[in-house]
Amino acid sequence: MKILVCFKTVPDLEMLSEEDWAVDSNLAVDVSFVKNILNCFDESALEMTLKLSEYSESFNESLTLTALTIGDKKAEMFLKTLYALKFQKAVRIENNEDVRFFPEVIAAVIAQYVEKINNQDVVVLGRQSGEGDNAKTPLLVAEMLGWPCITQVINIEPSQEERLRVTSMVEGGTLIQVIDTPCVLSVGNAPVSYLRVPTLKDKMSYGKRAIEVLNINVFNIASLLNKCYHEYQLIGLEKISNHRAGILIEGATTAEKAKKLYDHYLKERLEKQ
Amino acid sequence: MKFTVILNGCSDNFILQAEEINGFLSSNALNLSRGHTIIFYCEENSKIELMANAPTASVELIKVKRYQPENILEILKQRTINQQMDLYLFASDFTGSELSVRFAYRIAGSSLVAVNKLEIEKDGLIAYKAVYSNHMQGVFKLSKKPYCISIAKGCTDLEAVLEKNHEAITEDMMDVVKDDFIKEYDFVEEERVSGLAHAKFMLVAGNGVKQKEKVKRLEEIAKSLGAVLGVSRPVATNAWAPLNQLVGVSGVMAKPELCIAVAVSGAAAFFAGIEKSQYIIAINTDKGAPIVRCADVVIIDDYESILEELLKIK
Repeated sequence: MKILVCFKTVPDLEMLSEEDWAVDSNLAVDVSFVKNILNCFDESALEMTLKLSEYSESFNESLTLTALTIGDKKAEMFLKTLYALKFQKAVRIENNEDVRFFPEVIAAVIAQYVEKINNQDVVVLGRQSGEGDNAKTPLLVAEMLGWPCITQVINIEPSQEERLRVTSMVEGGTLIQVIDTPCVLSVGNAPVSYLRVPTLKDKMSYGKRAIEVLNINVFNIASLLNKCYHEYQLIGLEKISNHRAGILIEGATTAEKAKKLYDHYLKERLEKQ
Repeated sequence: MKFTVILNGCSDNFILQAEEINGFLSSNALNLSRGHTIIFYCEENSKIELMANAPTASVELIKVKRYQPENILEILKQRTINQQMDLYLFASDFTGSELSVRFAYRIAGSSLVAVNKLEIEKDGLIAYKAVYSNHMQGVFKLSKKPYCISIAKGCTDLEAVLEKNHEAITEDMMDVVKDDFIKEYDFVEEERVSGLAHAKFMLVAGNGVKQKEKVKRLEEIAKSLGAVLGVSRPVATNAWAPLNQLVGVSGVMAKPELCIAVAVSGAAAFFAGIEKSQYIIAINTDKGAPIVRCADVVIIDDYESILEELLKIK
């Protein structure tokens, strides 16, 4: 079974200070000085797929794992790690266009990659990522490929007859479904949140393979962007302010602080409950 | 603007969906007489309650075997194929956002997920939504009809439906099957309901708690104080607490009267889940943490010691 995991590296937005949130004339915030991290949902998707690959061996089935990202060179460090974690293929589609708010473009590139370059049985993606927070890419990939989609996935296991057992969160509980492929899986809040660290030996043995780099122009991005501009555009961007009074309770001891908190701010409110 | 509301009547949270959409329609001045509601349902005996909670007088009840997105999308397309609709509105839950995007693609419209506010213009629709992990608000102009919008969780007050003169048609579309790819299907109900969405007093714990055992103790403290415990995403995804206790953009957006946030840094995507609290008390050892600026009252100290002291006083 061939599985493609699409991931995005994102700036760690929590590192920005209040003053850093200045919007420029292109309606963008400069995040170039912030370190890049794996988008949290994508990180779960990558680890979940590695676990699936391990389980699959007990079903005598071998998976071919490909990791794909669209972006600049900064992502290559993560692709090398994925090679060291035994992904068979690591691909970067070079892009310098501003596609923050155009998941239609990203989805179209992924769908073309699957249809024309590297056929797959399953595509796994995180449900959403900053900066755009569009929450649309996995859904659009499914629609463009004409494949079914399962959202809020929290676990993927192998099953008999080359099927997958997929667990997903739904209102009021969890759904466990055994499915035929092809399928798009959109990963939600999974209790698999961190990507494992490769061993030094594996880094040396597998982490130095060449990353396949494709140019995004191969995917006709100019026409895709043009189509999007005619459908919707970002026309404003402003900082959300959540500031409150922030009254600081001081005291010489913990007990004194707790007493002040209770007497002045909590007692009356607790009595109302 | 001619619009259709899509609701999932197979879900236990149907009333919440309906009241939230009703609040959204009212706060965005959408003319209810130009609206229509489609409700998918599974249980015959739920029809009366579902219809009574439809935000618009014109209602279509569609019976399905179970709520399965592939089937629902096919039915929606069949039922709306000849309609000249301007706007389709979907609920704030994950099913609402999924349908809005996929349905828009199928009918060649445009979509936006988790929208807080709409403004109708002659040549388009202005939509506001949180971006940059909830640090910024983006303003979008959509120009391609039909617009398919799912609303943001907690973007509006819940408003009970006042419409009494519903005119409903019922359709049985259980024979529409597009989910052949599913070979086994098993729904496991949550063992316990978190109660966070309606909690009046909430204690929320962040990644700074560091251990599962500490979360367990916080659960006991919350109980003693009369609060409901919520947690940030790292606490839930580390399996220190059940996923249904997750507070934030991808979990519950709570509106308690009182919220005590402990060991919480205040990441924007988390804070969005407690920002509607009437009063926020933060207990944190880091005075530079963003939560300090976003709380009404702050104690810079070890949260465990403060909470244990509070239990003694109480």
